[in-house]
Amino acid sequence: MIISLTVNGEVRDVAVEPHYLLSDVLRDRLDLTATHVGCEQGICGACTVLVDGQPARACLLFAVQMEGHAVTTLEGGAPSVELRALRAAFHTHHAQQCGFCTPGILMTFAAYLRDHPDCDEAGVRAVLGGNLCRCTGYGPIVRAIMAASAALREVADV
Amino acid sequence: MKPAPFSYHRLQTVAELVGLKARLGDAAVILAGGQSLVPMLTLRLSRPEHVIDVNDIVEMDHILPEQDGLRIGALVRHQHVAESAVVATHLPLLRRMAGGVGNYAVRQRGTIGGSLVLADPAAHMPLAALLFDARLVLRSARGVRTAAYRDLYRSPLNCALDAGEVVVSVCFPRQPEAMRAVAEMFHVTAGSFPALICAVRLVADAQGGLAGLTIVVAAGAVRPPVMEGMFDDLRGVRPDAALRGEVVRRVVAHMGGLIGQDAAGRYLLSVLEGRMAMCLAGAAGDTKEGAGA
Amino acid sequence: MSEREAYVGQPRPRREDHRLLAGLARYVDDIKVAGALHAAFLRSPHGHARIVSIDVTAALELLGVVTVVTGEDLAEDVTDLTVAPPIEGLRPTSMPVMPVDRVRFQGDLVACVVAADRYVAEEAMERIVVEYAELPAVSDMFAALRDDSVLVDEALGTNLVARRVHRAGDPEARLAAAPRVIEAEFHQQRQTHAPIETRGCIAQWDPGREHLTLVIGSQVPHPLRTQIVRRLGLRDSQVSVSSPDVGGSFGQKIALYREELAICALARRLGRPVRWKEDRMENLLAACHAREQWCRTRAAVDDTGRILGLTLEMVEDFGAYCFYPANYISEVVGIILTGQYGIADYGYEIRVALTNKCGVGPMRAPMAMASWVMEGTLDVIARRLGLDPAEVRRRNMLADQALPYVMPGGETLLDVNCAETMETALDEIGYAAHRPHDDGRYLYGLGLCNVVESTTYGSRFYKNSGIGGSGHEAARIIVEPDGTVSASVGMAAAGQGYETTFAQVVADGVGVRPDDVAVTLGHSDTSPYGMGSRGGRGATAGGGALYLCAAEVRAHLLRLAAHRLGLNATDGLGLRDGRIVWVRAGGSEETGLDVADLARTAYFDPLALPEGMRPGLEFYRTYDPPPMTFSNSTHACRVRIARETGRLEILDYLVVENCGTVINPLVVHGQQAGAVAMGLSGTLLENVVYDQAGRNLSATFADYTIATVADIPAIRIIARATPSSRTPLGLKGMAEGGVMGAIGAVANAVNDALSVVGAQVTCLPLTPMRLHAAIHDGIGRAAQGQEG
Repeated sequence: MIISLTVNGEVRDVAVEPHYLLSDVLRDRLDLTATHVGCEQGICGACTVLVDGQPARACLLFAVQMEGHAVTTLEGGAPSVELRALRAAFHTHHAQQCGFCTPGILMTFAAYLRDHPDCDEAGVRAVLGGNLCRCTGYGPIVRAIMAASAALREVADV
Repeated sequence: MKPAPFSYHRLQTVAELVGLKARLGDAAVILAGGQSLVPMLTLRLSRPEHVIDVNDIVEMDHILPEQDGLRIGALVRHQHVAESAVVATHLPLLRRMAGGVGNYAVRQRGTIGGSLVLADPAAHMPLAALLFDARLVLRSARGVRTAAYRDLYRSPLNCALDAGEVVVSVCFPRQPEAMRAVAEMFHVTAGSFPALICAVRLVADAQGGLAGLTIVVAAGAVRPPVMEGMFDDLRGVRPDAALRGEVVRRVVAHMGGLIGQDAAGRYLLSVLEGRMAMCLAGAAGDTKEGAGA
Repeated sequence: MSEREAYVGQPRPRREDHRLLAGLARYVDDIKVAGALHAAFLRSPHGHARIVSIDVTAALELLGVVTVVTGEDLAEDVTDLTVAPPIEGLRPTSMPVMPVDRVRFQGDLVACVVAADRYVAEEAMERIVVEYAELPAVSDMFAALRDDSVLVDEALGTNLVARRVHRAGDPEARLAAAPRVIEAEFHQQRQTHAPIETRGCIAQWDPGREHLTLVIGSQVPHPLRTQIVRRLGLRDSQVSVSSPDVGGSFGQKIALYREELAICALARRLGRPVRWKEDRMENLLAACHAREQWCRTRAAVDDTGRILGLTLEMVEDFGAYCFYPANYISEVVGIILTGQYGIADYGYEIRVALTNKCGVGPMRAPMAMASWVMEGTLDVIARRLGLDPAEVRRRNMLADQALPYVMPGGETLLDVNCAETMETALDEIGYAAHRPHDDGRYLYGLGLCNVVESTTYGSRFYKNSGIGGSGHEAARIIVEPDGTVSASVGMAAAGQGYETTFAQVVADGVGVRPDDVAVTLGHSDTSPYGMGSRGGRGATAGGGALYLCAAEVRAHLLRLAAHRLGLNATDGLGLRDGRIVWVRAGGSEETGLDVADLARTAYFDPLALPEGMRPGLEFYRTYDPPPMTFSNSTHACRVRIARETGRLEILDYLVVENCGTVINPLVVHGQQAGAVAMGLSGTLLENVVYDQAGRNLSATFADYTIATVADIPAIRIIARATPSSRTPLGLKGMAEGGVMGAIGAVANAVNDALSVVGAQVTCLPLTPMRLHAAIHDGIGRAAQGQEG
């Protein structure tokens, strides 16, 4: 069947079978490979994308469900201010090593920082609990997110 | 792993849903948030012929304060419950428990109806529904009925809906002013499902004595028991430390009979003893004991 | 060589980050190959069974299925893997690419489906009918070593696949004569690497060129190629191995696994590209496990806690198949156990058992147990004798003047500052004020773990220890015609930041800016044949080879510059940031020449080159590091255990580390913290569990739990670095010591806390349930520290 969905701001028509996972369709049919598949069990969080602006595991959605919805991946058109701030802070704080889990973390926090501009470290840690990273020990990731949040507040204050 | 093929149906109304479910029967599963169903399909633990996507049925996506309680549509997401001012006013504990489901991304998708129907013994929302004696509004081709979740939730992963029935909403009864509810969750590791949840609903009489006490505990792979009648003899007694100690003893003894006394069971019972005491102290308004209400 | 190290030592953010953060990285599964078929493996549901029959008819009938093969089919195309290095006590083993008639663990290979996509392949798998005759399984290594055990590999006639004995001095005599003999026991659970990117590969056979290209996330592209050509009957020049971005490896992506080899064979057989992406369940069931080891030490001690002699008894569970020589992992524990302690009389006996479980391999710090065993033994001695644990360490520790010291395991320890790291750690953690105690809600403890981390293994080590292979590394540097520098070594990154750090090394070695150095890695055609990434060898072997090669580049460029400037010698000339300068006291002066000018000459005006200098600017250099290089560190932590739940909280965690010259503090800090986190995750949470029938009960991330952000405390890292005297730039390497120290520090802290209630734990992981039992049921009480 052909479905029509909005991906990164563009309307895309794509042929899928109902049982195809969104993660596979993004990667294999739409060539959007920034969305990484780490477990297909909904646990590692590497495949997190935004569905209508909110984080969701792409491995826990069927692509066919996205007809009429907007999906945003890390490749996503014009990056949001949150994503730009996160990228800069992740670079400065060495918050990624192998980088495989990173897209899911960036997408989760692009939404979280947007919705929680005054977040504290406890809130960030609670949300980061949904993403597994095997390389960093998480410390630099927390520092980078807090730095991005602070930078966003600075911009907002100006 | 990948799911096996199925036919996909995406519906807009409850009427359509009821009609299709009547026609397809057990060959169809209902896909709401999918946070538990999709892994089961992906691991091929379940192989339905039909998947009915209810995510567009907006009439099931509402939170409404009503005369006799709070009605929450089956499609309401956990995050919605967790952020709802209405829920915060009526049932603060429900809001808190919804905020503790899974993780941030999972809460954006997972629904209260889906969670109740799945009836995972370690899950938050079924426990809350048992505690507050929530009733499910069920529709089928035969009409509408309501049923107590306590009656429907027979055993782990078994919420006994009748053939062709779908959950439309869940109603949490209005609580008396003098009700306090407290829950404690215990995770063995930060990233794991809770190994133990205990929840207390305590209603005080005008003199501060016990007018009603309900305790639900999720531990081990058993259907969380609702402990209520076993405290009938304690009515009117002030919930002081001595009474709470007695309640803890009864709860631990009851749970011991259910989850067994092997090493893991003994451990859970031991932790339960402490958590239960904290919960009860919180529900009795005794903050000295440091309850996490 | 260089006048100064300008870029080595700078905390430069990584150049790799851009592509990772933009979503532009390319991991194996991101690489499109037109027309590629997808493979999926049918795996054994049983721990041990005979394959009676396999019927693939129904699978082949499914639309989109190209072929289904079994072990019998593939045996025609692929030779067996025989692991039989000439090592005393090691029994040779052999395995086919896929089992033919018997499966040995749950997840073992049964058949492979090749289809249009993975969805179809999985449908087809469900249609394969396999008749198994279940056999009794052995899933416990001690049971496997009993005479009446089920045999995992019948060809061996025993499950004891390796037994290794080593003696220095006469430890038995010391034990017999000692005033006291103190025993201690340690049991580390089975774990697995669980990189977030699972395994996977794409194989393409070009029938015209008769050439195989394998894209695979690998730590070791060249040794992998060697394995492939041997197994497929090809020649080295017929295979290219390319490792793109890798989403974590931790030792899991070294061996040539059977799945990958089968994919290569199928691509050749079908003449079409074939790809495979492992799913998480396969990864947890059947990729590679690690660390399941049991140790017992017996220490002869005097009343002051001085160790007069020490023996180590070790048993390791190697699983069902040997992808490595079976002594390979445990032997290093035996060799380095005594670390920084002066113990002349020492011996070890290692027994390695086959069981009906997934095969094992090295996992980040495969020798990790050594630190826990040694430091845990010292703590038991201190407790038994009523002495201060730090003081017992001091009394046994080698004085700086005693270095270099030939350890009783045979390797030479030098360039370490163990007393300095320990004393610094004691100050920082507040050791003097600490006493284990119990405030009614929590038990409080403090743990110390001194670590001597064997980082880099030179060829001499491999030769001495009877492990095959070489320890050298190779570097190639090309100064391109436009003056940019392309550098390569035979290593492949999986997050270590080589592209950034090696550029810093080459920049200093040549005298250019890091931005002018491109580092390309991971392709067997464009990188020189090297031994790849393993252990902590990246900096010393890879960085060292590059630095030496870069120095040759610099000397060459200066000779060319001198000629261009009309000089007979290079005296007084230098290379700074790509410019040829006159080096003057207090500064430098431009000559007007830069590397681009020299490159143009070398490539396009060879007649302007000095007499005897050939055109072009390509350089190749190998480097064989010392037999073993060492970093050292002290880990210290303070913990509390909740009496009510047994939950452990780490209140303070610190590492004082000497890893030699630091190329990039940002990257090194990341590696150190990451290693500690992996060590903590293993110590506290991870556990591969099999039941008695050999069924794996931990095949999802819900069951095999790895640390989340909430499980990892803040980690303080304090540098006390001294350079190595034996390596280029004084590099030593690191990135595994964190695992070693974390296990020992936390386990020792826990036992310090439990000592208040007279309990001890000897088994990992330190789950709340285990600690709760130790506190309340007395489990583990008196199990530790029996006096003989």
